Amino acid sequence: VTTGQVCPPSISRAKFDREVEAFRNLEAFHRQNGRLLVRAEFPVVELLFLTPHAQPRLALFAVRVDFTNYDVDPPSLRFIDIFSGGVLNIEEIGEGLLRLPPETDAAVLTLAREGKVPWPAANMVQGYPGQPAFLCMPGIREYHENPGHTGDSWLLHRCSGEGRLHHIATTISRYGTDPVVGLGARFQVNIVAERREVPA
Amino acid sequence: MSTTNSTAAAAKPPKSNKITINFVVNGDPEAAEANLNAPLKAAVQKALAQSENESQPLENWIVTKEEGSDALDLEQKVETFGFPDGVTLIVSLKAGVLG
Repeated sequence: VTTGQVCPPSISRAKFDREVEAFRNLEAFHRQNGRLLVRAEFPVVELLFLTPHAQPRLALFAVRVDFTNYDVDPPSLRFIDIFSGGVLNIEEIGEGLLRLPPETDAAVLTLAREGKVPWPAANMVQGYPGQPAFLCMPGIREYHENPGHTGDSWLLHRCSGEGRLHHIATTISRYGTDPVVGLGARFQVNIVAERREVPA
Repeated sequence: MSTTNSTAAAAKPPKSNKITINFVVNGDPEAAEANLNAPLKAAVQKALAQSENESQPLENWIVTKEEGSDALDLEQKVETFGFPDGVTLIVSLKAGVLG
């Protein structure tokens, strides 16, 4: 992954325009599924994600997808505050995008459905403490730049459909907003010993 | 002769065993003809080839009637789904490996 625009800007712009046009051609479909394009100005697209199955509608995520140097480089994705545009750190994301690992044991799934154990979900939103959150998925610049994925070059994914705006948007819906069906409350009671004082 | 003509007029044309499916492949529309007696995967593979999305194996794609609905069984014959001609199906790429 390179830094900055080294690919001819006209190429990145043409590919950016194609991604935005494809998204807009399916605008009604995306809107129906809670995805709104709020800004498209080369090289940046901003999307807002709402919950299509929850009342009241909840705006759970907003993302900024940066197509600088696309598609020599994959697009960069940051979670943002839709009001200020500021980039969100990992602590500010909430639950993130939860996904079952493909090798999840069937018995564990049964127990999770019965509410006896927590869902054995992995979070696709990752980040270091105090640092911007990122979407840990092939086709996203931050994934390929991560030292843990040096063996999984973007060039192995470049023509695979990954990194496309539609794929990014539908993945965030699938694991982030689509499963949400309403608001809930969670309480935790800790039983502790009452002490007079802590002895020296 | 007249009997032959009236028989021919009464006979209905054979029901077509093909329909057109309007696939949306990773965001791009792609229509493909589907044989009702063939498994759905044949039409999906045709749509993937037409849209130049063959670099991912078929098992990396999810085909649904609506977004978020259960994935369709690609081994089933097209006729088992009861699709009308011109139905729209969503072909989505699965998210890659977990980091």
